Amino acid sequence: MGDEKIFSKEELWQAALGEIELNISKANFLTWLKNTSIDSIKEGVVVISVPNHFSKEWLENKYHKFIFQALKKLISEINKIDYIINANAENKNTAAPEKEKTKKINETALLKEQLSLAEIEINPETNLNQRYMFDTFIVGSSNELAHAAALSVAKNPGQTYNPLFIYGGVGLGKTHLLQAIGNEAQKKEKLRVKYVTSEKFTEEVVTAIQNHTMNQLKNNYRKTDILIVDDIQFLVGREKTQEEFFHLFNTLYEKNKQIILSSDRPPKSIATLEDRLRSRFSGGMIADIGYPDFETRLAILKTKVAAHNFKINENILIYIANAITQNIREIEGCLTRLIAFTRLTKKEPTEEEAIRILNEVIKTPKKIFNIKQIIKTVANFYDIEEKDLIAKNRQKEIVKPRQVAMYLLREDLKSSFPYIGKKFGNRDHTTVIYACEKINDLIKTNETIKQEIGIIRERLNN
Amino acid sequence: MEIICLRENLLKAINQTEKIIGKNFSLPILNNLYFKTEKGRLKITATNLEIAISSWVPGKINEEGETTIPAKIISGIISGLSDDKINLRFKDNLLIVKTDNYQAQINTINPKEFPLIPKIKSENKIKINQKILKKHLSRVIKVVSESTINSVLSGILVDNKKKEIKFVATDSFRLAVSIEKKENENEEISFIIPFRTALEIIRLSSDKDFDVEINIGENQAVFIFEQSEIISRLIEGKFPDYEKIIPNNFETKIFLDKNDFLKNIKLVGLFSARLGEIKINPLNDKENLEIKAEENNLGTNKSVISAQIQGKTEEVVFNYRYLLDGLDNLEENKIIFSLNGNSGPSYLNSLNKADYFYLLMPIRNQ
Repeated sequence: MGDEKIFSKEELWQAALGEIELNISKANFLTWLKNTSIDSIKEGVVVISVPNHFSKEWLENKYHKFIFQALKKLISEINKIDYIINANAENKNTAAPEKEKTKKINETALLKEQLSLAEIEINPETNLNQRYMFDTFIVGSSNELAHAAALSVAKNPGQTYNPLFIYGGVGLGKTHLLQAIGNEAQKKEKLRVKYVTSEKFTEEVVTAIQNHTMNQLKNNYRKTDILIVDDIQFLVGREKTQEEFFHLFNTLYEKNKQIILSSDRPPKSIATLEDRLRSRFSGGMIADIGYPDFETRLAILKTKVAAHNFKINENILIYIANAITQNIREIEGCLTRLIAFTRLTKKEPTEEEAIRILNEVIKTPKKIFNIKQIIKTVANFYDIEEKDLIAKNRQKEIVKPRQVAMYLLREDLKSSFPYIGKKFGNRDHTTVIYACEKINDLIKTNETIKQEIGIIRERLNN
Repeated sequence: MEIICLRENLLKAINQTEKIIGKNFSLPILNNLYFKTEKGRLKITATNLEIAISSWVPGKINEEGETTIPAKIISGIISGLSDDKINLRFKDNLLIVKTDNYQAQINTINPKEFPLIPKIKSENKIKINQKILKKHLSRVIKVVSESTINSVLSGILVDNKKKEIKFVATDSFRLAVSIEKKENENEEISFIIPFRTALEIIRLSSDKDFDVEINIGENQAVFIFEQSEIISRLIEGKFPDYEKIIPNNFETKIFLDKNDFLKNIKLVGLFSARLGEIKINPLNDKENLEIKAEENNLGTNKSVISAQIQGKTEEVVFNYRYLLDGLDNLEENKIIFSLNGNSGPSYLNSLNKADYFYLLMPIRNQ
């Protein structure tokens, strides 16, 4: 069987096609052998994938001899050829001609305004939204690693990084990346992909418990080849669900099935996640998606503008890219507003007009929050008691959250150092100054703490 | 091969088949019609390698045989002739078309080169009256998605249950469901017919009471009519769970007269802008519905029609063409137009007849 190692499937088919081409006319060759490939080779049986029933009939009945001879010449062990229909190949075959393509662009241009029935886009078997593809994901230094890992997982599910854990803030493209893996993996092979948010998963577990259908649910999930769970941080505090998930995880993992998870923070920062889960989540590849840098933000804007078939002054795009740094969804929101303005007034906005329109969005006053909310949110985030934050307690687990809370009070509420000290159990203002400086330094060097503070701020704003 | 047949029958069969021939430059035989004598009739077949249509012509067969000839030529000849009887004879690679005062010799291509039409290993057989099939497919076909992103949406779902058959199409902006409530003896089965195939089925269906037999095999099906049949792939995959999307509650319900509504939408739509926007505005008196549109270069217009309004009176924007696509298919004149504000789906149906409904998303109101 040494021969089979010399040729890859693609090389073997290319070589065979070269031989077959000599025996039939060019027109026939193009018509009948376009979009064919070798699906598998196993124990002397070659399975050839063809785009439709017509090709299958023709190859089976008319060209079988040529194909068989050509393959046999290359690999002598071959004794049988089967043909299967791969509908995906047909889709490529009937790829829309130019005219339809422009129509599609117009259609996408309308999308933002003509609202759609969102659920229709979702594949009922996999829960994947087919709009999320790798092609439309813009790669920059902030998401390079996550993107590369995702691509690699999509190519070789279950083999390279398992589990793949992707984390990052709101609106930075986690879900896009996760769904793109699923869509890509499904495109090539008939893999059973299942995408689920952890909330949905919890809901399913609860329903299964109520209806005594747990086994059904388990069997259902155990059949998947790629399981994608989004926003895993919401499993926090759901013990029964965590337990079920733990068993499911193990079953799939042992069978080399790919597991992909996402969260707003790394596994070690998810408080009250059972240790055994945390260690499993950390067992594969962990990649983060950070805030996009200026170039990436601008690239995203330009792509969106092109997709909308829309002309806009580059300076305006630069203005948006500079103004919004932390959320891609907001960047898109700004653009939609500009497009709406243009449609309404039938002219391209000048820079001044654009800036005026955008300022309405960008400078919307942030939600106002007070000291109580900060303390509560910080305590919640680190899963400690609020009173411990205030109390005279120097345990390590408490000190850091306390410093973070002080830092936020100083930075976001501009409270004075003595005031902060007073609120935190009458501490000296120098303690507060020290805390703020410490966190300030940490943010520069420690990615984790930067992420954590980002999430806390997000929560405060929501 | 030699056959004598009536011009009218031959022309009908040629017209039924040649329509699917596309422009195929690489394989010339795909521009040809395949002629073959079969069980006392002449069978004519055309294919574009996605769909194959065959049609049978009754006639007197003097000699069996088969050949292929360019569709354009034979179609031109037969429609141009005025004689009733036509004699077709195949000899020495030529097809001789002969009437009392006309004769043509057409070069043929070897029938062995003609694509083999896939055979259906039938797993399921169902029968649907062709009038019913035509009616329901026509009612939803406009809504089939043109986008290639999601291939299941590029066809019509036929959902056959014991007590009813549903025909469903959606392009994600709207969803049309047409229902035939009638007990049937078919197996419960659902399948997705590609857009082009549905179009051909509508074209081949006549208004005669005749049951079309549909044999469904693995990802393909044959639709058998009285004198013709269509062989086509079916769309693989699962159609969206459309029933889930249909809202149970609506913020606004408008009871109105269909013809009145239709007429005024067409009228007001004259002034709609690029997206076909018209504004549907239930007035606070709850007795009148205002329809208005504006286009910067043209101007504005509005129309008020009487209606019975329940619930919230909020203005909602729609693409008027999309609205018409749904309204056109309601058979009764008394209809309900239900709204869910300017970001939820609206719903069109007859007041007393549950045979058709149409779900439509609004345009974002700016």
